[in-house]
Amino acid sequence: MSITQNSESALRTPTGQALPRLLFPAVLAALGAWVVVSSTGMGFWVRLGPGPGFFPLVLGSLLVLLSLLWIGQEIRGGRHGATSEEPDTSSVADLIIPEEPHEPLRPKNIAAIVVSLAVLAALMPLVGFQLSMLFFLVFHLRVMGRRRWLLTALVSVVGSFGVFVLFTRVLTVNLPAASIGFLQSLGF
Amino acid sequence: MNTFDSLMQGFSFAMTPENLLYALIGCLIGTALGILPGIGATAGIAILLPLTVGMEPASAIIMLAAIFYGTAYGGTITSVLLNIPGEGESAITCIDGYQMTRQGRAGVALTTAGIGSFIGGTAATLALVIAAAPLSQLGLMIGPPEFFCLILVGIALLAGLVGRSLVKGLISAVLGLLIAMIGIDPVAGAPRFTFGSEHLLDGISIVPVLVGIFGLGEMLYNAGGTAARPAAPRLRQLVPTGTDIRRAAPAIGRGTLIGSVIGLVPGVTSAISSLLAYSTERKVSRFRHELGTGAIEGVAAPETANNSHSNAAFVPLFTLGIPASPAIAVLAGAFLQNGITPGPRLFVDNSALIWTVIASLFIGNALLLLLNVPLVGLWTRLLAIPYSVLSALIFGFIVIGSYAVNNSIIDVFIMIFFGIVGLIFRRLDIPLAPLVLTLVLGPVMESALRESLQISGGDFSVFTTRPIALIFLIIAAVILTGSIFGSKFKRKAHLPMDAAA
Repeated sequence: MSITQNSESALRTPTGQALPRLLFPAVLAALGAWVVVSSTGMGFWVRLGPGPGFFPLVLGSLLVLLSLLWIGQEIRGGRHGATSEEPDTSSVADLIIPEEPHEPLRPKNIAAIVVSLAVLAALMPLVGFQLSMLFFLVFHLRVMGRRRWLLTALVSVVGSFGVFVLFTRVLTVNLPAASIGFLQSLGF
Repeated sequence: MNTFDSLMQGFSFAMTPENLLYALIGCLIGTALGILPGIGATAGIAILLPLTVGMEPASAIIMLAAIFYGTAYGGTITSVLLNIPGEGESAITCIDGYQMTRQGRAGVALTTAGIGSFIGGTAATLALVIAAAPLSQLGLMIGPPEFFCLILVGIALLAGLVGRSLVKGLISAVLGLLIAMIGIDPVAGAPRFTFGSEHLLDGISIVPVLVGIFGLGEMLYNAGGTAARPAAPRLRQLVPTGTDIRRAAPAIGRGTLIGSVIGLVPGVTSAISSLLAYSTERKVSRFRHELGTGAIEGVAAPETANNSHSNAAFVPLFTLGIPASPAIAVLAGAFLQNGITPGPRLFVDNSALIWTVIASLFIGNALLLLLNVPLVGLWTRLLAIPYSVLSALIFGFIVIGSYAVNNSIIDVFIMIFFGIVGLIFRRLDIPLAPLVLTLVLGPVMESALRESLQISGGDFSVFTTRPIALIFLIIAAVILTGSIFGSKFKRKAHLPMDAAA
């Protein structure tokens, strides 16, 4: 998870600063180096030809090289000011499809979504699909979306219990069942 | 059996009530996905892919393909009525389409777009029918060295043409290959990068990765954003007048040609076909001075082009096994899931299935025309669903979709992880298309490389002494060099950032 944590912190910082912009390519370079090191233990060449470590070695080296190139571009771009990366807005096509600037990140909303999904995934094998999805939907509709209770209840019940019946009975898709004995006896 | 007989047999299978129903469901879901913000064709197909496990392979692929081209219709509706391009390829339709809506001619614009899309899609599918047999003959001559070089061409196209930075495009491709490498290696059977996990021995399933990157990644990128929600205008008139038809017809013809040709090139998105079709109208149309003020050519040409592009994009997949765009790559995943490898052998090994799917493309295009134009008022009501309700339900489906491939909670966590990766890619302008292509093709690419070197006894000249392989290598090199020196031009031409757009 270190990749995502590092790069998330890079994202929160304004893009004008050099260091955070170098962070993600640096992480990728480290990942590439790790792939190269790991591939050496897999067998680079066997009697029949390339071994299991051959392709990873090539790819790991490529990743290191490309990440260093990216870092180089960022440093050069920073030295020349941001102008070299600025698109030329004089062409007709720019008027037709204007460059969309990134909307500001909303770290709280992103964190709420990621954490709620992780909790949902962790709860599903314990309490079953229906109850965990019910809680998840109530959280998103009522807490995040500030919807009225009636709508929240309706959508949550249909989205959890209704969807469970639809998928397991009609579409014959398996969904997680509870592993807690008490809940199992209730049919979850 | 000749091509015509095969196609007729395909029609007889595609017209069974069951397959018609799946095509219809696919068209409806596709249109809905195209209208609704937050989730596009690629994520939609990826999420629904696991739910087709219990279906007949032909029915599953018919439905998923219908979702793919149905989204384009949905995107048109919001572009014309609300000035919001649901899909990137409809962005250009906004200009004249929305002006037509303001003049009370929304119905005419939508009908024209529908007819144009139908003609463009049907013509491109006809081209597929004609080209399929000879191209797959060519495909059968392709051995491992040629196939490896062909994939290199695909990667070069996606990395070089799609994003603004070649380095970032190539990084995306390399990361896709590395993810594909997790699990048992395809030649010697040794485990790689499994971190001791039994689950990872089988490799990472592409569905949770794609759902994460395209579905959750997009939702996280838009997290907390407010979607515009203007009221849908009333449709006074649906049928175009004689003048409209006379003006739209040549634009539809040019759009068909542009989309069908550009669609054959892997990596070039349908957004580029629409853009080219529109700029062609600006140059050659008799009414070019009216473009931008609600001219019917400005709707007919790009909408025709993007749909003929979408249908033409099946040609490289069916004949060579190269998916031209992320959405098509996910469809390739659907083939693989059903034990069918897309490529030249399709027409030999799975002839009945592939002709059924091709026949269904004709049927689907007709269904979309019949369904969507009269129902357009109903479709716009979908936009009245509050975004918080919609996003909560989409999260639910994302979780079900990624769980259902292997009935595995680990896959749900993998999906969440790749959702964060998708967010980072979007923020840092790393294109997603090369990653998807290499993720899907990674195992075959590595097998092709290693088999080639086994054939030659480890001699790398096998890639330069075989003429077809050498031609592919040169093409790939030209594209890469061209995109290094052409970056200035590219910035000027302002190609869209990603095939997923």
